[in-house]
Amino acid sequence: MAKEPILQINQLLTQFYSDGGKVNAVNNVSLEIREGQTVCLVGESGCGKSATAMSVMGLIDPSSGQVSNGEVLFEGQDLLKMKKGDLRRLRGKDFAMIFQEPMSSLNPVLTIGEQITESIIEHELLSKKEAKQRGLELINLVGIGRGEEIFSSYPHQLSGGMLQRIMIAIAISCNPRLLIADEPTTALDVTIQAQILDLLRNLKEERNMSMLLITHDLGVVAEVADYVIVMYAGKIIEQGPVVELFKNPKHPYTKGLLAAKPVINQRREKLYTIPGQVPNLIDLQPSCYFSERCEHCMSICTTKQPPMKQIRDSHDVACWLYEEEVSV
Amino acid sequence: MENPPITIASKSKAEKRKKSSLWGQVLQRFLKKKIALVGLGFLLFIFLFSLIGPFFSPYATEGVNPTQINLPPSSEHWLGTDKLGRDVLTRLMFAGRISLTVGVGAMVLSVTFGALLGILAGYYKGIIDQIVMRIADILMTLPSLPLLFIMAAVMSEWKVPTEQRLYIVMLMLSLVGWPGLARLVRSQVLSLRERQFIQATDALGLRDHRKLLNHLLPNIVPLLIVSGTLSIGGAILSESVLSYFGLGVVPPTASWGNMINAANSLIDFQKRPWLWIPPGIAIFLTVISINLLGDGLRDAIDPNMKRR
Ligand SMILES: Nc1ncnc2c1ncn2[C@@H]1O[C@H](COP(=O)(O)OP(=O)(O)O)[C@@H](O)[C@H]1O
Ligand SMILES: [Mg+2]
Repeated sequence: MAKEPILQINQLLTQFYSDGGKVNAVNNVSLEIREGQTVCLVGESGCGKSATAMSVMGLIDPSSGQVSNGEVLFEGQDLLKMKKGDLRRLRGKDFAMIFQEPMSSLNPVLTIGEQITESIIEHELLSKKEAKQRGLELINLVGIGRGEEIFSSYPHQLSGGMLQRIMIAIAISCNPRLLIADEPTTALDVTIQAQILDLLRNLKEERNMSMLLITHDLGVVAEVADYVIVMYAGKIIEQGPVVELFKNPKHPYTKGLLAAKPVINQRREKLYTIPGQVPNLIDLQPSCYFSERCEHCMSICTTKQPPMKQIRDSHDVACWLYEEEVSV
Repeated sequence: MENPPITIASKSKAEKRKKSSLWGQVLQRFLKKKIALVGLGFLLFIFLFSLIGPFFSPYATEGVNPTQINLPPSSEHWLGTDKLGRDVLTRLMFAGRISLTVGVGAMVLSVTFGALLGILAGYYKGIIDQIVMRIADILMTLPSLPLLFIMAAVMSEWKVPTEQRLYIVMLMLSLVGWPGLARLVRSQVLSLRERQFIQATDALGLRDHRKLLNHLLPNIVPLLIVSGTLSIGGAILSESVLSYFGLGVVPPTASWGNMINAANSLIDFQKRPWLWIPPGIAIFLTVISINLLGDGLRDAIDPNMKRR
């Protein structure tokens, strides 16, 4: 596995402006995605998963925030330093994104067909007719029958699951090499969720894409991920290959997440929950941000930020429990 | 692919046919508004009256006839004749052509300017927004009638040929008409651009002109239709006022406004009501009908749209 990373993020810092000052929604995040790999980004809501994805896409609205530091290297080119026009030509073509809410991600007054062909026409300079042909193939590819009928219908006429399939079709329409999916199944029924995941996984295999899948659902992670990154309060606190991480979680937060995951055939009286809440991102002192909720909290945890430490091959954790220098 | 093809659930089939087109729904709601239909009916009548009517008239609009001056209504001249012996009914038709043309033309121009500038201001915000909206504010704080009078007076100074005054009047009216529309459009675009489907167009790497014309514009079409329709009424009124004072469309070109000008002379006002009552009624009914139609359209297009 000596494949080049298709996406490499170095020390990304994304801040949003708020009344109380700047919020570090993505705080010094570094990660990489190799060719053909599926990387899952997990964490509670509000921990900066979407902000990470939006930073990569260059979609942070300048009136509400900014990427203040770091590099986002897509196949070696820094997207953050790229000219607007050049970035636009890559977006939607070489890397594409699927959003959480399929119902609100499509324009209500345009037909599915118009929206599916749009980026094909934009990026591949095909004629309307050729684009329609491709659009119909895509509709078929994402597992919806009766392409012609779907092509001329409006978003409100389709169900959420079908709309998410359409969103996937749009995202893969120009054969991107990287697909970023931000909680693509969260807004859908459980039965549909599995179908959409299957679809994503199959498409990824067939088209040899890499995927950054954002989710808070560990069931999803177990099913599709090659590599897992756990975020907490804007920081990566643990990352590792999926089997390793599930078998051998190190960080108390990761352990908590895994314990909180319901398991079939193992019904417990009460589902485990991690006590406490995600801290307010505004007034964070140098500390382990999880310390307030951590049952292993030591004095150093409240005063110093734990560095990232390699535990095993590509399994890293940021936790004072695993620093030998610290004498307890 | 392992995924079995999914088809639209059969239960939604009947439902679908009903919903199949957004405009079909609008039409259904519109057909329920009786008053708006009356307005539409009357407007159609006025249009036909003005457009086709003259072909059935035995008189030419400029048919000056010194032997038939100031005749009261009769079987020959249903609405009498004016001081040059012209048939008032025929003149009313030609005047309708002018007044309606000015109204519709001014609407098209102000909708074009207003939509374009409103979209640009709302989408790009920042400096473009500042410039466009400050100009709009200035135009809106100046009372529009005096402004129109001044511009019209300047136009008279420049000795614009009579036939072309019509187009200048349209331009003038759209100049005072676009700011209100631009504001409405801008505020709608400001809220639209925060919607996810507009952000999704960024993620697709679409060029700005596609985002603005293919995605934003269709979403404000309902607003444009309603505001545009309502603005025709205002434009016709303003044109009438200008023409009444001899500053808009001037004789010999007839417009409803300059026909009412007859009421300026005391003797015509008291003794020859057929000269000024018909154009007055025409203006009144046309404007009322346009407003009824506009209100009906607004309710039909978007039942939740706020009243202006
Ligand atoms: N547009 C925004 N303006 C201000 N703060 C934001 C904005 N978007 C996200 N945030 C803040 O950034 C943090 C991370 O948000 P987000 O990335 O959406 O979390 P997640 O996707 O993991 O649920 C949150 O604290 C949120 O309040
Ligand atoms: Mg999110």
